This record gives sequence, structure tokens and C-alpha cells, in this order.
Amino acid sequence: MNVDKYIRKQIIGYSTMTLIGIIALLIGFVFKYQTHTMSGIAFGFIPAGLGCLLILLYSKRRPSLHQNIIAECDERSIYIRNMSGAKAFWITYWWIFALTMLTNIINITVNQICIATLIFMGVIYFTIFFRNLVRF
Amino acid sequence: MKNRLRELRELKNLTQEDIANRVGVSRQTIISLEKGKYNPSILLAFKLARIFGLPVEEIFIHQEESED
Repeated sequence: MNVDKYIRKQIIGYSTMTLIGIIALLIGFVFKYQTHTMSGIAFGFIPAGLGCLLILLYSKRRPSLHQNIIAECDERSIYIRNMSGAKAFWITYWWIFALTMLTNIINITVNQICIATLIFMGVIYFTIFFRNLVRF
Repeated sequence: MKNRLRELRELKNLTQEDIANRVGVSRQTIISLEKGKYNPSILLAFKLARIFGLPVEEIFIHQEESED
């Protein structure tokens, strides 16, 4: 993948993320709608979006950071990421299936299922990712 | 799939870093290729073949019995 194209795509992605955070902040604190939820979205999206955006912009001046971005565009890295993503998807698919079956036996809320799934997905993805990093 | 990457690289007195820079991948990718852990894309295989001035099939040898 072309590095400049990759950086442009990342900048658009993180800018959108920051914008969503700002919109949530406005909705929550200016329009007083779902303040608690909106502040959660804002405090999650704004620092993450802005932080990554600053790293990308700063990388133009720091060769070591730029090298990391080049490594992210590397063919093998893309292959490992895609493979990990595909495996994590199917494992999570069966996880949700198992949880759905489990709701017939135990009393579990949608919120609890979502939190458990979010944690599970992250753990599975990174476990497979690091396993593949050693494998390939 | 087997490959002669290491052998050809050493014949040309090139480092893994040199090859990596010339084909636009990381050094880790070249290491994985040489160890036979990773199979390259067609594009990368052609770029590597061009460096050594050989056809792709003389660098990467496909083995029928292999699961790859």
C-alpha cells in the first residue's frame, strides 16, 4: 500500500473520530440530551482521535515514527492484520451464538453481553495477531 | 513453497535491508521470506525477481506436496 495514501486515509479516519466526539459533546452539554452517554462518547473519541491525528502529523518530522507507519503498510503486516481480523470475526461470531444460547439459561442483559463481547473481541484479535506475527 | 532468496542475496552480496529497501517492504518481511514462513504476493515476487534478473519460478519453487 502507498504510504501517503495510507496516511491520508488515517487522517480522514481520525478527523472523523474527533468530529464525532465534538458533536457528542455539543449534543450532551449544549442540548442537554443524554449527557452521561454523550460525555462517554466524547471523552472516548476526542482524545483517541486527536492523539492519533497528532502522531500522524508529527511523524512527518520524526523519521522513527515515519518508519513505524511504513511498517504498518508493509505487505506482511497487512496480511497478518487481515488474517487475524478474519479469524477474530468467526471466533466472535460463535461467541455471540453461544451467548445467545446462554441467555435461555442465565439472566444476562444486552449491556453485559456487549461489554463481554467488546472485551472478548479485543483479546481474541490481539492474541491471534501476535501468534501470526511469530508464525509468519 | 521453497525459495532461493537467501542464496541469491548472498551471491550478490546484498543485505536483507538492501533488498527490503529496493522492493519497499520491511526487513522482517525479507527474513520471513528467507525462512519460508511467508509467501510473497505476485507483485513482490516479481519485484524480487527483477532484482536478481531471474524468472520468478527460478526463485520461488512451488512444491505440489506442500500444504501452502
